Amino acid sequence: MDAPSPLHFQRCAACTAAVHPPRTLCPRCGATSLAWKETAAAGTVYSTTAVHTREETYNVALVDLDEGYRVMTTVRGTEPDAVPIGARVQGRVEDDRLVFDL
Amino acid sequence: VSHPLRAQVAVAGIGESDSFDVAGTGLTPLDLIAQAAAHALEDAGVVKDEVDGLFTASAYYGMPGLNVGEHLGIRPSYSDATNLGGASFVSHLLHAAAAIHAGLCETALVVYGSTQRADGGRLKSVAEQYPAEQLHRPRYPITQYALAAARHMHEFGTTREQLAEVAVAARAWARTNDRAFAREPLDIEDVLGARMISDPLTVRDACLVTDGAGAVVVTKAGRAGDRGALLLGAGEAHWHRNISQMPDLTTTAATDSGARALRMAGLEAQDVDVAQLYDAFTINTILFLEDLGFCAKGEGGAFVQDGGIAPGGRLPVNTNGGGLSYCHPGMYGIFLITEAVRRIRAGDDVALVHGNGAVLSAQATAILGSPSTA
Repeated sequence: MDAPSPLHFQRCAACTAAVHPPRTLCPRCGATSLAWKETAAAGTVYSTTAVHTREETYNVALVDLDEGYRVMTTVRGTEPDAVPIGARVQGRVEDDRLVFDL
Repeated sequence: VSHPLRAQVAVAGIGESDSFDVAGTGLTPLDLIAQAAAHALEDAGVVKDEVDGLFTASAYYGMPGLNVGEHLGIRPSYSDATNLGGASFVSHLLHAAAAIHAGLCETALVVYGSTQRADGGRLKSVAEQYPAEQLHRPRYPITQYALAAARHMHEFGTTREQLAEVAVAARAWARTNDRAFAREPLDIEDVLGARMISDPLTVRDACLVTDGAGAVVVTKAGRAGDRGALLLGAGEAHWHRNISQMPDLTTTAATDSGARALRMAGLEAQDVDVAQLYDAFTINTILFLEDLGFCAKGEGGAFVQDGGIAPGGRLPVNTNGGGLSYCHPGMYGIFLITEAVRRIRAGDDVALVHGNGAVLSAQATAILGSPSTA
């Protein structure tokens, strides 16, 4: 299923787990009551890599949102291979994707 | 009390395709599968019509049990096409043991083949959409493994040199093996200086792209005779499919699959003489050494350092050259088993094989033993 926007995640009504990407069953407790929430998009870099192609080098990272879920994303604001793990980052929507700035 | 599946079945025969490079020959994955199956059946002293259990997985065929059964002229009473990626074939050992023990089949053929290299080298994969990650253009699957490597380096101080040690050790083993695909010398500087694909992993931190097929025949232990490698234990586990859903990128479900396999075998990691660990990327070997109990979490880099898993090191690992230097036709898992059986026939008593599938997702472990371990 699709989320209403890249800023949306689900909160399980039964166990309070943050769930992303969205689904119809909570993968932690099995409850089927999941409510849409909007993230403040503040998070911490969990891991990072720079993908090298002939044309470009770009960042791919995993960011842990403060609400308690992890997303694959792109971190901006430095060289693609210089994003520090553990850095605080702030997200924004760009081209219908959630990306982050250092 | 011994586990009811312990040492009940054995790998009675092994086989591989004649070549790992079939470009220009017109041979298909099924042709290579037939080569490997013929060699394994001959090695086991089993005729084709005795095969009543068929175990296979594929990225080419949506219903691979049907394709392989038709092509080989096998009419199984028990058919299992469990697809856990590269871990499938170690998982099939466990499933075959259960099926044989339950009397659902007697003679199982586990087989896999691919012409990935001849097809142009792209990883063959069934169409699967996961927009939450694909929007950000990871280069599947190396980016996912690079994220695990970067996190391991951050948490434990693992270095690129230690990652490179894994590739260098694999190459050192391959240089002792006439059948290995990549046999030219390789040192740490070569790995570090190779083309970067997804930091910190270079092209030399990544497995080969070859063609090839492998097959093993599994029977009741008594049927296998002295050349059989007993299945002492096996276990499987998976916790995620996509890397963003993996709880901790430095700890894999091998902690579960390995513990299950060793518990069934009644053994500990220290009892293992030789290990075949699915090395799709150099970080894999380090993670699995830790998760299977050969060293503590975070100490895998130190374990492989200074030739720790190379010939003459503290533990022989990937003794054919592994996926990094022996062969890697899309999925490597079946070749873990063929090499472990060779090592047992050559005198080792306990061999651990560990298969990995997708992006550190599926984990399957088996313990094979010489007749003296029964």
